[in-house]
Amino acid sequence: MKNDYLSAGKELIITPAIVIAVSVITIFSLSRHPFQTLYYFFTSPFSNFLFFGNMMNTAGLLIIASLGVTIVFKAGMFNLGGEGQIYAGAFTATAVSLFFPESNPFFIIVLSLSAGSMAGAFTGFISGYLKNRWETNELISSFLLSSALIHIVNYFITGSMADSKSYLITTRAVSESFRLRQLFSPSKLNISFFIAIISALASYLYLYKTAGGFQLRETGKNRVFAWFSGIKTGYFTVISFTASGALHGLTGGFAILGTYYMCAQDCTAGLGWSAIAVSLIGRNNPLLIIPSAIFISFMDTGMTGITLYTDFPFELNSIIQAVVFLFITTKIIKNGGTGDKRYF
Amino acid sequence: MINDIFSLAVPYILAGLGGLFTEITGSLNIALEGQILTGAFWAIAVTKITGSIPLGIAAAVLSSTLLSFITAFFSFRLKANIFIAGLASNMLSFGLVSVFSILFFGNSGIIRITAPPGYLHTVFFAIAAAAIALSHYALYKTPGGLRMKAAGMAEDVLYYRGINPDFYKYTALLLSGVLCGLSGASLSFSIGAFVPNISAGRGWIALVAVYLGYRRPVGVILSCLLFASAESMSSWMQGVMGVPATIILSIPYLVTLLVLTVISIIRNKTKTGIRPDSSGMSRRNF
Amino acid sequence: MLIIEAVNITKIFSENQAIANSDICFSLEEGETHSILGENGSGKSTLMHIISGLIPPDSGKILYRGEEVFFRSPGEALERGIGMIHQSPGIIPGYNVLENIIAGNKSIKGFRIDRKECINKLESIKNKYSIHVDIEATPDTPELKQYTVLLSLLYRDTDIIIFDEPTTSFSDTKTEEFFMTLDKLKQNGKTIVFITHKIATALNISDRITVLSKGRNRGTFNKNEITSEKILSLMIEDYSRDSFEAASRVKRADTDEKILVGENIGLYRKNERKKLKISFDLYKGEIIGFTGIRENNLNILEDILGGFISPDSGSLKFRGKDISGYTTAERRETGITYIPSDRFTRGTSITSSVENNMAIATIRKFTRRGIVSNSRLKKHFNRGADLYNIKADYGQPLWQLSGGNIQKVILYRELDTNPEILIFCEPAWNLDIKSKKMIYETIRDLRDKGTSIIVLSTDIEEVVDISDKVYVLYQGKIAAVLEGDDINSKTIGEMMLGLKKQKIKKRNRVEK
Repeated sequence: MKNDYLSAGKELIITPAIVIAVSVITIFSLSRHPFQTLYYFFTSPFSNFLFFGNMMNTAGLLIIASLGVTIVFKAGMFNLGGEGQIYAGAFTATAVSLFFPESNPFFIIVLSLSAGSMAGAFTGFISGYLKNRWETNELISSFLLSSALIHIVNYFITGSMADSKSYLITTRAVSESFRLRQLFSPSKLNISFFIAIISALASYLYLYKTAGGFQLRETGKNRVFAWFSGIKTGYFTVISFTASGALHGLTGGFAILGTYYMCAQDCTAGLGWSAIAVSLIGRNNPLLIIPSAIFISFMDTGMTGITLYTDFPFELNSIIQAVVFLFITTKIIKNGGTGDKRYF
Repeated sequence: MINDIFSLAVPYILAGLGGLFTEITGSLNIALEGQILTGAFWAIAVTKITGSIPLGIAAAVLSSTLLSFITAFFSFRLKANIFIAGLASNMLSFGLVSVFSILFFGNSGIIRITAPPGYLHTVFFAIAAAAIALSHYALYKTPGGLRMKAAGMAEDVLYYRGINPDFYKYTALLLSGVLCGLSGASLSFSIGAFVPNISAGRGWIALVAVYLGYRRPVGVILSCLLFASAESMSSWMQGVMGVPATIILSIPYLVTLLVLTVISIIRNKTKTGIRPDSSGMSRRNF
Repeated sequence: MLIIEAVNITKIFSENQAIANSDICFSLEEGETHSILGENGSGKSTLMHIISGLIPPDSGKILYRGEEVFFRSPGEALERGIGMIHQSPGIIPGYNVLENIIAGNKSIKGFRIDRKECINKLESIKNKYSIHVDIEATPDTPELKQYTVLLSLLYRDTDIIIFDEPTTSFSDTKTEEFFMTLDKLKQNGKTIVFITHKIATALNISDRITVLSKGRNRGTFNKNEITSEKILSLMIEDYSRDSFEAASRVKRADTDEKILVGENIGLYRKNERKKLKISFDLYKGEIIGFTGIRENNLNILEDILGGFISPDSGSLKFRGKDISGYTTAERRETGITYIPSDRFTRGTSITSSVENNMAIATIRKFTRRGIVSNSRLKKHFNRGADLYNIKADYGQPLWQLSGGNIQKVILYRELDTNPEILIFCEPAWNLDIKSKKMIYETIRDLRDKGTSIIVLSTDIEEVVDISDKVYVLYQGKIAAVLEGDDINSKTIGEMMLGLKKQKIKKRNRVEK
């Protein structure tokens, strides 16, 4: 455990160093004004409240979503359905808050978030249940379900729920009173960031301090042995997937009520994938996920900064991000022996 | 209808065989999607610029193989997590396609070419058929195929016998690049244009086909035909029954999930005994 | 002529700082059969792994025919004609012998497999060394695995063949057959290294013997220069001979309490070729041993006794109550604990910490209001470490421990609940002589205190050493029930291979 933090600590220093080096090289080779681009890349996230707040806000969303990835991973499985679960959560939260009149905002907010969470949880539950009941490969089932969900949500957004007045493909915006209050106006940073931090701490305590977490982790480490030792492995399979879906759904809910205010087509696209990356970089440890999420979000904000301030085309962002992702888990960075090939 | 299914199946089959090679060597290649996209783009781009369809196909194969090489190099040589490397390749593919599209054609939208000749359809069908035959032969009749399967099942054994399992893992990933390049080309030539997000999840579905098909060529082909039927059925539903296009898009996924579940139920029924499932994630290190 | 010389080889494993080889010098002459003797953990396998290119030494060098070589992989050693066959050699699952050999030989190239040529070459090799193996068979037995790899090495004309305890799980006849093959290899000029911990075997087959102990070379001797007593004293310094000879077997009267009764336990799985039909009685304070070939006999019985499979028919009655449908955990609560033969998959979680492995089955005891108490865990850990003399640190992952210590962790966990019945599979799994002795003594102590023990073991000598009553399994049925003086390895061996059958006495058959 201690070792884990030590090498993770090393990694958290070396990783940004490599990432910065890689981004510098990529920007130099792609941009016409590399120095200006570099300047904005690194400074824009800190240049004003708007950027800094948005960066932290995105980090918060990433934290909640990657906790969802982590909890399933700890139980020895993988949830590839993040994208769809988040989107479904976002849509459900929007639908609920649009349905109710402006009465008691607090109640409606909680209700919408819970509804979003439940939508994700239900999706996760299906994959977990199939896995437990018939050993259906959870990697595939969660992905398929999520992909189907994305189209089903799109069906509603383009169809019955579409906002005919908007030129975008989107639902109507949720009413002002249901939106989460901005803490650093004009940035979108809101209470969800703090809820994310609390969730991370709570997940950490659950996973590492409680009997339930102990059993969940042991299930993930060796299923057969866990069963042999009297742990209800089936229960943890289903519950971890359900919790994961719930966390993803909650991410979607927060994304709508705190950031986008309306469920536009593909508004949360990419969040699920980034969450997997955050989780893997943070070694699937709830505490390490926090810096890892902030880091990924910093990258993202830096990219937005350079597309706003320079001639750097938007499409190049995904290239830089891709190059960073390529390098981020390589062995040049990882110096622990954990990933070593052990042939005997 | 049948004809329709077979032509819809071509891109799935080519990508599915690519996925089969990587799965057999034990690598989870989620970059199939990006490889198809890259192939689809370069096929059209080079054809539009040079006017030569063969050159377009060659460019598709080359570009997609290059992309697969990046995944392979980072995950095998630099020991990156193959899932993240694949994710990165997908992003890279998306980014590069947009950038080159702007560079060559001034926008990142639809790129049309003059309608390709009708026989091209048959050519790709023949390519797919040849790919099936060759893959089957390569996997079951050559020493290399034996070793490739062994690299996925017991790479340590190969290592002990003085054979480098990584060589076979590389080869498989590069082969997936070649096949996905062809898959992308068949996709964009079939409509005579490159459309952003033309791959539309086909890489992922191909990966599912590999699982559904028990990692055997015949199984993969059958699964791909199943997806093609689902796709054909959904477009029929759209045309005849007037079901909205968006909901139609979800049908292939739901059908696949249904088949997957049925298969796992059957598989679970015939398996006996041992109580806790030992499947877990032993084969892969995420 | 010296074909291989290892000079001052030192290897320290970084995971547990264990010194595996300390300044070892070793030489191999062309055409000889050379045994490496030592206890488990004495560094004999490590030395050979270094020579065969599997792991690099920390210091020292290896000379091949006088020329210094450095092997970065087993492949490079194979290029020089040095091949090693591991204790339980890996084979490619689902491939038959022939396919294993084709996949594992670089020399077979091209776009077509020339089966005919391969088969012809293999047949001539088989004749030359009198190896009787069906090359179309799937290597699923230990013998066939050994022969598969041996054939593979012979196929590429390997000159130096290193065997790592090949005959551990062979039956006696198979062992004899194997030694004949070794003889043929020697006659044909092959150089053989034979790693073993059995002194008699070493004296029987080798020209020279090297004794290792605690990572050091205690000397290399010609076979006729040395006696078994001398070797033993080199292998273990504080060895006392009287330890576990002639077990004081306890005989139970019919009137004693039967604590566990298996009545016509039946299992039939056609597609998995599993078949079992047995009955047995276990009295209070008795050790019964089950032995047989693992495949299709012992492993099914283990699954049934351990709670992994419910039998199709019959019953397993604990104090008159049928428990055949209980899970492992439910059995543990009832008072029956089970130590599986597969220590790594079923018996432990090797990536978890030592204390987690100790506490997992009884985690509720260490929990207060849902929170796991670290201090209680630590107390539990310390108690176990003292009681069983476990050399491990709190928080250390289990895989860093030696086989003996892992065994003790399992014993501590399973015995801590004071079970009435202990089902112990392969008690001597991966243990050196000293730890083995300790385990046997523990088992006897438990019996004397009234615990009933079922031992499942493929090692005939082990069953002979510790059981009060022995059930021999053959093809899923009980071939013999032996008691008292009838228990000896010769009889058991014959029964186990179906060479001889016992007329089962009426008394031992439990009728409904």
